[in-house]
Amino acid sequence: MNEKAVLRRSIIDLCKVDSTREESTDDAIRKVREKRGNDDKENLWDYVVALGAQLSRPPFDPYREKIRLKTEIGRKGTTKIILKIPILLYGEFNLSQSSQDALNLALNDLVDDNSTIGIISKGEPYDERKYSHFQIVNDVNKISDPEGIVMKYDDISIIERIKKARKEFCGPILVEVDEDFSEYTHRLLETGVDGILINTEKITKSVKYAEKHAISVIHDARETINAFYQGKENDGVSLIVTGDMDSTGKIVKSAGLGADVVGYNISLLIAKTGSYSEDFFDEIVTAKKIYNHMIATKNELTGIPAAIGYSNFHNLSPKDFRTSSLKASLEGEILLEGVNKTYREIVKEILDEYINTKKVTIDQQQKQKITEMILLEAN
Amino acid sequence: MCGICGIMIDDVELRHPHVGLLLQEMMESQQIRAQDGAGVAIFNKTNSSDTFRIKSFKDNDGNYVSNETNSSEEKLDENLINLYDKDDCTFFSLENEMTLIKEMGLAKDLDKKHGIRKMEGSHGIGHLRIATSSRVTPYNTHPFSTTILPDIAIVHNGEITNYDMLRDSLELEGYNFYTDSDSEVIAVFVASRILKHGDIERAHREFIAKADGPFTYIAATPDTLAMVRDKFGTRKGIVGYNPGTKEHPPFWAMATDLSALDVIGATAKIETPYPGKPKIFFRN
Amino acid sequence: MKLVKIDTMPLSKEIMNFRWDMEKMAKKGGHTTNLKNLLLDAQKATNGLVPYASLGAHVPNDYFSNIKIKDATINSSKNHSDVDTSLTIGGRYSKNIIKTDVPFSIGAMSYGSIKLPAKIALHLALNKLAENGIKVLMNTGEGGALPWEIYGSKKSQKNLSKEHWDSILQYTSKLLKDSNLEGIDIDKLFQRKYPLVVQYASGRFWKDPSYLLNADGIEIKIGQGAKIGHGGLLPGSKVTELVAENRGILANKPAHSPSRHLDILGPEDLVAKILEIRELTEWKTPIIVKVGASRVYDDMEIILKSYADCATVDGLSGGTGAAPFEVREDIGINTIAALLPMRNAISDYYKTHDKDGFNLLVNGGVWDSERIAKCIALGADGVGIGTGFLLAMGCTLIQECHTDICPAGIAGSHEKLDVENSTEGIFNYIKTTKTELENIVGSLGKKNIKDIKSSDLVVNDTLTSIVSKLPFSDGEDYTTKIKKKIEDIMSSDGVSGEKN
Repeated sequence: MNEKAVLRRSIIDLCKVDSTREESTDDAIRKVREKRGNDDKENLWDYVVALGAQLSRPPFDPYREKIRLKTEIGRKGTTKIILKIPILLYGEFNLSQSSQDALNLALNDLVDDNSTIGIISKGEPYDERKYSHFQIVNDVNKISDPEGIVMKYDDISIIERIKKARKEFCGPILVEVDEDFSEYTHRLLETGVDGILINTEKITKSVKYAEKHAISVIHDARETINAFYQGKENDGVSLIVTGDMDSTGKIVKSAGLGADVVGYNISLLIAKTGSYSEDFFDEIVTAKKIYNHMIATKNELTGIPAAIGYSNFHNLSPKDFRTSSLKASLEGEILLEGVNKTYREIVKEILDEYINTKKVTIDQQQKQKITEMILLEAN
Repeated sequence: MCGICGIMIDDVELRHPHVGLLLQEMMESQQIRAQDGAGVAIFNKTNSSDTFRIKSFKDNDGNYVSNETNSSEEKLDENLINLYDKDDCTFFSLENEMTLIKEMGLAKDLDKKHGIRKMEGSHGIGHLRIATSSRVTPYNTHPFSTTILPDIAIVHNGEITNYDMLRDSLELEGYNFYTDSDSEVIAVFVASRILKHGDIERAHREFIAKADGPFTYIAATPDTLAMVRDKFGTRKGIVGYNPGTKEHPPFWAMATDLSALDVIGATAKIETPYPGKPKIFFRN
Repeated sequence: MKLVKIDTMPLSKEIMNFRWDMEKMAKKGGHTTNLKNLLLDAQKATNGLVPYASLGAHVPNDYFSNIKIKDATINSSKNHSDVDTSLTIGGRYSKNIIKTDVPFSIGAMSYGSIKLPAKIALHLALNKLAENGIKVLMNTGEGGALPWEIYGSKKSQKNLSKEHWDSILQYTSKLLKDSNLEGIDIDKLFQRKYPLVVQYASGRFWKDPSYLLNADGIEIKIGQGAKIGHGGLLPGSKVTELVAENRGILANKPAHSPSRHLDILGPEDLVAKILEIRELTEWKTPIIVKVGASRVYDDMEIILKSYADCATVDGLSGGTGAAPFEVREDIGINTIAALLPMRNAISDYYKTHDKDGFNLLVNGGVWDSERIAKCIALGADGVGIGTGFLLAMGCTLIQECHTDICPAGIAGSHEKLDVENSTEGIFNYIKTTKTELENIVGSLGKKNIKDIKSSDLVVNDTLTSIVSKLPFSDGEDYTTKIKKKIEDIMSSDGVSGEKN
């Protein structure tokens, strides 16, 4: 029995003449939840919310005031790519010819509508395209005139290939990193890479992030890039997040955690637009559906920053988000709702108070160790 | 942030420079709407000298006391650095021609303590505060000034929602902040741009383009008084003129609300500055 | 939307796996949000429009079921009818106060978002309760008030001109005819025996000044929990001719209220607006300010300084008739989590001001006596219930209120609501909830609902303890438990450090 049914039954009991209930709604809901168990990991995104603007900060009106979603990819000195929505369609598998044709049609229509997005794919860029195509290659000699390239990190030998690409290619170069990105990203950035791409689905399958959620990957990637910029001027490295990005809510929350662009999963996009009929695959119909989906997504994306009080999507910051999960708070250093502190900060405060009242002396390392051990038991 | 006001006397000879009186009248008329703090900054060329005044609030266990040190131009950097290093002192004004006064509490108490009504000058700004996001302390009241250049004062109604980003990039450029109020970033930004290229109108336009959130602010420098509204005009702002009489000077007035202009008779040439286009008066 | 046979399609491996997963999930019957999202995606692909949603967000953790009221029971063999469950609102600046016999009210549900039969059922039920000595507060919602709500007493009808009264009766008969309710006794209908709060929202959907003047309370709606930062919304298909006439707008066009009041641009404007309304109502009528729960402390600080009598805070799970799906799901914090900063704002304010009778109401996911008691224990004076009353009228929680297909006939016109049954249901719901509240208070040995305190509550997990500052049933809160863990770690690791 799910929670909605339990709630209904409980209230209906209250509506009978001279009724008495055996248990309250919360008692019944508690039982349902105990049976269901914890599904934190799959749905951790559901536990993250944004703070809306009302009195202390007024909302903007997306129907009447222009909200900027414009995004640039490329650092100083690179030929920049401009997107009107911070979305790149990301397809790392080989798509069928008809899927590619449909995408091409849809992307061109979006450019005409002033809603330009881009695409990352292994396939050849289309000649008559009006949008930007990032080609996934490993050797700059093998590209066919895309606007940008994506290289995958296998090992540190990529540095040489990047240097070569940098000399011969003036558009943005992105690198898709693996779970050890924190160790080598600064070297990539020093070589002039314009953006780091993380595939959270792949990375959360690795040993390093096995027990963790996409939130933790995005947070760590943003920290790594920020560390590179410590004391330097930010010249525009982009963090592109892909993986389970398939809804506006996740796009917004990723942006809050530090994503600059979201790689919208092409397979999920095509599947969810439900474009297949029983007997054939119609490119025109699929293209229209993809176009519609992106237009609706764009309008959702203007609505949410406006409701949070920003006229520019990229002004969303971690301070605008809260969570109702200890795990999410730990993984993304997200403030807990109501108390406005992260779980880590709360534990640290308690530890400091303990040290002060019990008058013990321990060093920084031991303090760190104790904090980590307590956080590990987060329930 | 709450009620902002500004006055610029429209008389080259400054025969009746009652800037303080006019600002005080405007503030008291709006008092019911905001009672957490009041402050003014008044510009008077006759105050100009070789000595600069550095003002700060000293924290005596939650009780804040205003402090003033004099400094020559040569020793200015050194004195400012000394102040920055003191934990219990918070800088709030660097002045030469300008006099900046601010306290917690009501406007009439400010006048009682500092004689605002009697202060004279060519132009000035004032502010009444209702605390919304930063705490109620005297250093979070307006006007805000900066150590970058002397004689710059800002009063602000609204919230700069991307304050963190703006502050981070200004700090990277080497500029200091002394409070956690988002209004301070306006003063620092505008001053940093004046230092960079000297064009005050351009400085205000750059701020409008970079800042997010609702704001109307009035900025005063020794030669200018400007009312600046965000690109959507999310907060009110209004400008009016009083043509003057034999006893009173003609002047331009700026305020959040028409009622503040009404009370000092500045109801001629009423204008709402266009959102995103700074309305600047230059002192002739 | 048909799921397709896998083997006939040139699909990539990703899509095949995805389809299998969807089918598996559908069979398991779990993860209903993902299936709902699937439908919304298909909708976006079909019409390119922002999808709407209704009622409350899917909230995986709302803390309520992790809190227990120690030793209290909703049933009792003893009679606790002497327990005082009343609530008063107003008096801080207003001359009049609203007194109700229960600490909960009907949440704001507008005529338009719910149909006439549902509004009439609520009206008749509240009248019947008032006749039985239980006065309950009603809120009009954003869409204006119905004629019998504004002119529900002989006194209010007395000064009306004949033309005005005739036009009111004309409109009333149109309303009743449209919903097949002509059998209702007009004289009985035009009686309002319960207190009414009217909403002053950014849409300003009323034409008659008596809307404000005849009200027992005025609620300035800055925002609501379901769609914080977004204005009121009624989809075009629900703006019927009659709804449009009541609101003074065009029929069949969607009614998008502005996201902010055009004349309340900042806290000082709120002060001015409240003073304006006070002058209009000769300082008699209590004024409430409603916000959704997001930047709670800051918003409460402003409301406390703004000459309002009362604040209403609406949590994330508060419902709505229509909102963009993502705005409803992703913006706002939970009711329980909001109660702590609310309490802090109030206590900080009263450190420097004398106590003056400020009230606090909360909405959002509260629907039965136990939840009401928990909110009151955590600092609210009263609560608003919305979804609970819809359930009492037969709502099945399919959450399609923004369309016309409501199977209970509450929010849509395809089905017919049984007004008599619904009235009975609401009547019993309120009566039984009152009895349960009396039992909860009485079983704790107390005499007044206001005597329930946070010391009567315990939690069963760390996060709830952090967010509510309540202890576990063994009396320890999260701070103590974590300190004990620190002790354990330090002694077992030999990291005892030097005591100085």
